[in-house]
Amino acid sequence: MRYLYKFFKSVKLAITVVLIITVMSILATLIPQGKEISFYYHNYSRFLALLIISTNFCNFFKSAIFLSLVFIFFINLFVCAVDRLIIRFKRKIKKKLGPDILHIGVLILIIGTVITALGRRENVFYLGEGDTVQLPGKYSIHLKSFKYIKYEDGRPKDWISTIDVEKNQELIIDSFSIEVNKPLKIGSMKVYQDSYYKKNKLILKDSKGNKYTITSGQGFESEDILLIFVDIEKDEINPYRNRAVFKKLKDNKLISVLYKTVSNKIGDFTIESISSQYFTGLKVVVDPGFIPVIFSLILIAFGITLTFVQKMGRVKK
Amino acid sequence: MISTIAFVLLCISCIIQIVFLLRERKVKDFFSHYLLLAAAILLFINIIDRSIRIKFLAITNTFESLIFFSAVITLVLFIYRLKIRKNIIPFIIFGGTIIAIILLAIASSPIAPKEVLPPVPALQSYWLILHVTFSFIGEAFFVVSFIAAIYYLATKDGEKKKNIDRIIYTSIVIGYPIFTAGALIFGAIWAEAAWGNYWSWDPKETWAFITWLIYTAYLHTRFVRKLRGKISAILAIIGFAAMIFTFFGVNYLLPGLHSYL
Repeated sequence: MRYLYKFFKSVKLAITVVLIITVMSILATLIPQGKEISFYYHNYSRFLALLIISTNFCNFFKSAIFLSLVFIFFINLFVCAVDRLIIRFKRKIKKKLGPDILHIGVLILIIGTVITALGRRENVFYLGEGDTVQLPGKYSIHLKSFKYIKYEDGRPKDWISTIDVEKNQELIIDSFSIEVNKPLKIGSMKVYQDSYYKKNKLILKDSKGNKYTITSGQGFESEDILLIFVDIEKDEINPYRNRAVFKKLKDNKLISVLYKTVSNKIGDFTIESISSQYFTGLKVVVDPGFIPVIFSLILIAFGITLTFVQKMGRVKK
Repeated sequence: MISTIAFVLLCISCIIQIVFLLRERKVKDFFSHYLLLAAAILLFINIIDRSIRIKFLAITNTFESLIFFSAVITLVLFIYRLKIRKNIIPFIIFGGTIIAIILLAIASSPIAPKEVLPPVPALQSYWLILHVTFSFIGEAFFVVSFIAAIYYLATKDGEKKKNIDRIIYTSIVIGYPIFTAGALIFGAIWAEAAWGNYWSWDPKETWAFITWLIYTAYLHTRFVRKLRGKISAILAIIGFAAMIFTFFGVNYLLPGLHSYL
C-alpha cells in the first residue's frame, strides 16, 4: 500500500502521464475523428484502419485509452494534493497555498467534465414565426419573430430570435431576444441561437388550373429539359419584387440559368406565387457539469494567480 | 501603412542589434530597444484605428491577431531590455525581434487578408476579447522562453546557463497563468456562451490544451533535479512549437470551429 502511495505521489509520474496524454492528443488531431468506419478503411492501410477502430482512436477523447490516462492522472493528482495537505497540516505551513488550490481546482474540473460527459443533453428545434415547441419541465417556447441582419457587404451581422416562454401555459418571459453569445436561461436549460435556414416555395399553376407547390431543389421535366428550382432573390429590374432562379439542364448538363417572376411561364406552368420563410434553429442544452466546471475554473485561476504572486515575491527576494 | 512603418523600425532595430552583438568590444546598445517600443506603439495604434472603424476590438482575424501578437512581443522585449541588465539579454531580445519581424511578414502575406471587417455574430463577445488578448500576452512570454531555451542549449558557459535558465523559468512562470486564463478559461466560457458547449475537442482547443500540457510538464520538471536544465529547455522549445502549430498549423491544416483566425 505504501509503495502504491509513493508511486502515485510521484511528480515523475505526473510528468510522464501529462506527456503521454500530450503525444496521444497530438496523434488524435492528425487522425480525423468521428468518421464512419468505411472512411478509415478507405484512407488508411487495413492494419492501421483496424488498429484505429479497435482501439476507438477514431473517437479518441471518449476512448478507453484516453479515459484510463485521465483516471491515472486524477489518482496521481489526488494523492499529490492529499500528501501536500498532510505535510502542510503536520508542519503547520501557512504559505504556498496557490498550488494546492490549483490542484483541487483541476480535480474538480475533471469531475465536472465527467458529469458533463454523462449528463449533457442537447436538441435543436427549427421554428418559423408563430411556431411553438414544447420543452421538458412544462416549458414552451413560442417564436414571435426572427431577424437576419446583414452588413452592407452581405456578411451576417446578427440573428435575433424573439420568443415568449410559457410554463404551465402561463407567460413567464415576454419577448426575449436570443442572439449568438446571448442565450436564454430557463430553469436548468439554456437556449442558444444555433442556426437558421431559408425555405423557398413556389406555387405553379398548369393550363388546367391545377396548383403545385415546389421547394428549393425540386424541379420538373418539360419535353426533354429538366428545370430545377434553385433559389429566390431580388429582381434586378424591380428590387421590391422577388424572382425565382431555375437551372435548365439537358442530359444532366447545365444549359442556362433562368430568372422568372410571378405570372411568368416556366415550362408548362405559370408561376402563381414566390415566397420564402426563415426558420430559426434554437439549441436547447442541459449541462449539469457546467457549474462545477465554472467553479473549478475560478479555483484554478485563483490558485495560479496566488502561485504566481508568491513565486514572483520569492524571485524578487 | 502604420504596420509597414513598424516593420521597418523592427528591421532597423534588428540591424543595430546585430552590429552591437558582433562587436568585439562589448559596448552597450543604448538605442535599439526604443525602436522596439516605437514599433509596439505603432502596432497598437493600428489596432486601435481598426477597432474604431469596426466599433469592436480588432482582433477577429489572422491579420489583426498577428499585428496584436507582434505588438505584445515587441513590448515585452522592451520591458525585458529595461528590467534585466545581464549580458545574455541582447541575444534574447535579438531572437524575439526576429520572431516579431517574421510574424509581421506573415501578416503582410496573402494568407492574412487585410480588409477592415466587423465581426460575424459568433465573435461579438467580450469573452472573445479576453480570450484572445490574454492568450497572446501569455504567448509573448513563451517567445522569450523559446529564444532563451535555444541560447541555453547553444551555450557551454555554466554561469551563463544558470542565468539563461532563470530567464526561461521566470518568463514561463509569468506567461503560463496568463495563457491559462486566456486560452483555456476565457475560451471555455466564450465557447459555452456562443455554442452551448465549453469544450468540444475541436483541433484548435485540443492544440491549445496540448500547449498548456507541455508548459505544465515544464513547470513540474523544476521539481525533479535530473530534469532541470537541458530537458526543461527542450520542453520550452517544444512548447513554443506547439504554440505556433496551434495558431498556424491548426488554421491551415486542421479546420474546425475556430476557422475565424
